[in-house]
Amino acid sequence: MENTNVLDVKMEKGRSLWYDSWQRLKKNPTAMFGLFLIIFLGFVAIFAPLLAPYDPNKISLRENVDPPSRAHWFGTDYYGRDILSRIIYGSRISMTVGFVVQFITLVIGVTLGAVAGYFGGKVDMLIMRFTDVIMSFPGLLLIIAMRVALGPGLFNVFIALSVVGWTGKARLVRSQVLAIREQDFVEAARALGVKTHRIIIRHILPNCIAPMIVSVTMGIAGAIMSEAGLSFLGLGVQKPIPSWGSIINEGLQYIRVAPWYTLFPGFAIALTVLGFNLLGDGLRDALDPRLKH
Amino acid sequence: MFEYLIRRLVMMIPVLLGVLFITFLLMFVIPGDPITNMMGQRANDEVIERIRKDLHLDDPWYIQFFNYIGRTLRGDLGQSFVTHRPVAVEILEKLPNTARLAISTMIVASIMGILIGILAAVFHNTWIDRTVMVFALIFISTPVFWFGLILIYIFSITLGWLPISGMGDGSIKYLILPAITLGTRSSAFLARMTRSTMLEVIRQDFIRTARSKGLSQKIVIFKHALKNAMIPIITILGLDFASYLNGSVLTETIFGWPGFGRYVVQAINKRDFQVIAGSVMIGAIIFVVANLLVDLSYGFLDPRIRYD
Amino acid sequence: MRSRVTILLIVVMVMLSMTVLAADPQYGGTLNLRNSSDWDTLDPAYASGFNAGAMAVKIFDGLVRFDYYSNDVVPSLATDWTVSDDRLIWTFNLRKGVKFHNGREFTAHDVKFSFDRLFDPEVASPGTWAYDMIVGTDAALDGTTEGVSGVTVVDDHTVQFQLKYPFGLFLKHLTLPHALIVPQEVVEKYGDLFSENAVGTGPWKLIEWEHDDHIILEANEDYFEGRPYVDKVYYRVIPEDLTAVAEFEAGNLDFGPIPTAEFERWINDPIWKDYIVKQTELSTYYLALNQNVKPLDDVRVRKAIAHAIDVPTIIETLRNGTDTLANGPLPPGMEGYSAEIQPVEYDPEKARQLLKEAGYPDGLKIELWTSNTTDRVQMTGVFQAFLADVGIDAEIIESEWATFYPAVKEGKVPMYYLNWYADYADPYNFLQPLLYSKGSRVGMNDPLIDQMIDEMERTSNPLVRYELAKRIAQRTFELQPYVWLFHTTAYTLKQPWIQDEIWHQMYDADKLTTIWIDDSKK
Repeated sequence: MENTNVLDVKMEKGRSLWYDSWQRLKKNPTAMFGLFLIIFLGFVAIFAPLLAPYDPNKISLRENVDPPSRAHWFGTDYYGRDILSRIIYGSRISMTVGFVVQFITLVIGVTLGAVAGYFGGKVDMLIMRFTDVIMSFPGLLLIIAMRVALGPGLFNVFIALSVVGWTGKARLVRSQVLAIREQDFVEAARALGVKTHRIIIRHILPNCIAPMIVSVTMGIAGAIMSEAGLSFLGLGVQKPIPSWGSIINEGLQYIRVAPWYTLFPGFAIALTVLGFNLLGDGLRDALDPRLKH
Repeated sequence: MFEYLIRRLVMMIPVLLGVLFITFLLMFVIPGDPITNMMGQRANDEVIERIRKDLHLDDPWYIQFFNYIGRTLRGDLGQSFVTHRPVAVEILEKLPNTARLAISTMIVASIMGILIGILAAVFHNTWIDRTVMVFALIFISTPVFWFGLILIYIFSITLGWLPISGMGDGSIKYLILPAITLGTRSSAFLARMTRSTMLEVIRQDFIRTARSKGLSQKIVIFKHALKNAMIPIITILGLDFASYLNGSVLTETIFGWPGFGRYVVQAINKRDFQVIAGSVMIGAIIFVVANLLVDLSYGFLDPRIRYD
Repeated sequence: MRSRVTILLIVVMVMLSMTVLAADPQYGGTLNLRNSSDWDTLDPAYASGFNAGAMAVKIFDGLVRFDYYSNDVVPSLATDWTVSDDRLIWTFNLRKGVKFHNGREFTAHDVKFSFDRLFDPEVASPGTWAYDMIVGTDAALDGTTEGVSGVTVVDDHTVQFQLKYPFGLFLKHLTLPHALIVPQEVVEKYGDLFSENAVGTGPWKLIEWEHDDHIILEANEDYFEGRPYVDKVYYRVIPEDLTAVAEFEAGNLDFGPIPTAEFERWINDPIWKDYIVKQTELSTYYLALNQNVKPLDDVRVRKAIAHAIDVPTIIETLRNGTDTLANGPLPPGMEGYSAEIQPVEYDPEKARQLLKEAGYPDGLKIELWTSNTTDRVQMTGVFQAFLADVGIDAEIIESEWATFYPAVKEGKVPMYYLNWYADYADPYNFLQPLLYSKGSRVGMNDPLIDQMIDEMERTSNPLVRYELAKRIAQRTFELQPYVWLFHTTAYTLKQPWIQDEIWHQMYDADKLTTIWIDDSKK
């Protein structure tokens, strides 16, 4: 009972922190622009079937690689498919990969980071050495090797990107936990006989939320970028699912005769990643006012 | 200091072993067969089996792992399955190409990044600052491979000033576009970092003290703020440099640059295990050493930092 | 006045003589060629790929080679040969006075050594398949005997091959890069690095090889057919077609590829369209249907797939109309090709009907494999779309060659897109690998076809072989083990100053001995 009170006090303080942060974020025009971009892209992804002018997989060989026209705003690809429709559908892959990969890396990173930070000693050393090992791999090469080992498919793209992506979060959580572990309210909870996992989940982790939100927002941008890179190398999702990176890959050979082929999907990637980065920047400033310049 | 160095070097060993271990695990779950691949469509099955035996590819993976470590300790990285050439020789052929690209990239990145960062910090909260920072973020958000394609389209295809790709005769014109492609992104990170660290330092007391002594504002900024901003700058530069030395797969692909990154990807595609293992290990050593050098440089930049 | 006339006359005469001279091949100059990847090896024992083989024949010679202008086999290191009445003993008389690049004279011992080496278990050559009809090869490969007992040195300039059974295509197999002759002392000196230090008898000497970058060849002044016209060949490794064609435009390459994506632009270019060389290739592109995998064991399903794909439209659009629609396994221009067979028609309605008859009224799901090169992936995407149209849900499995090919070879892959290019121009070289039951990758098991292929192998009468080929092609039409797609035509750009170059259907025919550079057009 007593320890709930301790927690309530924390939560109370937390709520006002969130409220203040939101107020600060609202005043930041670039961050709000980023948020707007993300909401817009989320909307596009969800309502893709309604927004796309054509079936993204409908081939029409005699209309292949047509330049932008009134019928096809972004032109057609080498099968005569409408590039605009494929970009609209492609937002689904990018958004899904971004969020799912960040969810997986968040779970892995937070768990390992919290365990390492809280218990310290041998456990800490083992986990941190493992983190070092993963970080010592050239990132993209490990992703490529993982993806090649696992074979094609969206699920395997998730795994390949997640295996590499969790290390930063684990380190971040660990350092937060190390800092918080020794603070009074945690000492108090421990003295009151609260179980270890409850201390971690209810007392320590909430204090990691702010940096985690920033990390996840930026991480989504990173995951979208990595997926685009994988797809560009022909290691992304399977055909005929549209993905921005693979449209660029397909358009590569046409760069001298049809430069617009690669232009539009690239814009889509850059815009999406920019949205998440802008929001991430804004969140960092809003959640940690000390850093605001 | 010396003791610290030794301790760091000893700590490298388990990390490198871990990297090798994971590489071996991956190679054994990776589908596909290097021997069938290299022998072409017509080779006799018995011959394929014999080669597999000769190369000890039918041994359990842990035996192969320990054998590999044993050989590596003797300084032998083995032979490529495909070309029959020593892996070490092949890596030493690719690394200089990658190093050339990495060094030029770092030159582009550090000059552009630091100057732009200083500029933004000096003109803090003006339109210059805001524009520069928005552009920095735009460059960070742009996929390198796509940015490279746009540069190729503008400077090689439309204007015809620079070659489309490859290393050609090795002259500098082949280097410009890939170095700018990679360097722009690095410089965007660097500019943001330089700016924010300098602002932080400027706000600190000793700067105010310095200013009260009557030094001109510019000198204050350059001497104190920049010196203090060097630690994060060196960190970014060092780690980026290490990652470029490991080969930037996407940029090397776009520009047909015969570097280390593409070499490893080709080895993965051909399942050339000896090459994969050797390259990954060299790559990891580059990373770990770069990390160490970055840490050591802190001591030179800031004498207050001690290694104990 | 008179002096002016004389000067004019002299000028005219000089100009005339120059044009006359230009018609004759000129010596000198450097050829600038391109390769899309580094060469895996130059060692004949390992040269199983086209790139390696094409380069190896520049440096080495075999006993025989392809004629430069036809698919006939003509003498090279051997001057002539005789065959015993039972067609089991082949005796080759060797050319005298031929020297390796290191100055040593070539003898029959080098032939013996080269074949022994091919079957040396330590060497583990991928080329053993081509000569396993020679007596003693199995024992040599097992390690029970040293050397191949069926290859014997009669004297310094005569060598004899003893075969296990009559093999009609023996000479054609001897044109393969694996049968190029290597000098023993150099091979033994360099071991695994022989490839880097290749020494042969061929028209070109290997001067420099910087991996992934370039190879430089220099004319062999002492080549027994006379030295090549060109002094030097500079091969550059340029992976991207776009880069290569840009280098060609800049005049830095003597030949340039036409990227598929830019085909229209080049073919309509007012200047370059006259310098495009068209070359039909001995190739067959196909979609393989594995009869060991359900539901492809049902011939109606296989036929449905064949009817579902609109190959003529694919050729017209994605292939820029450059290729020939296939009606069977053999390309036109190959002996045994029959023009009478009609290609399978594009008829989606019939495809749906056949699927219904086979018990799949609601369609079916199947894997479609391909290796991950751009044009192959592109092609499977079209198949997928056409198949979807008749209710077949094809899942594309796109993987690297190192995964794709071993799986195909094990006969595990239900449906895959691939091609076959000739090792040598004979229908047997197409029909045996594609249709024979032993080692079949698509579950072929047709006694009739097997029997005809066996016959093709044994007979030494080419006419019989070509007749059998026609009958086999007819038979595949009924079985539909593959969807035959198209036979390719290569389009290459060449610079105006390139003269008398060879366009041969076999990758290993050209030794670059006829090509020369017309400086007046440079």
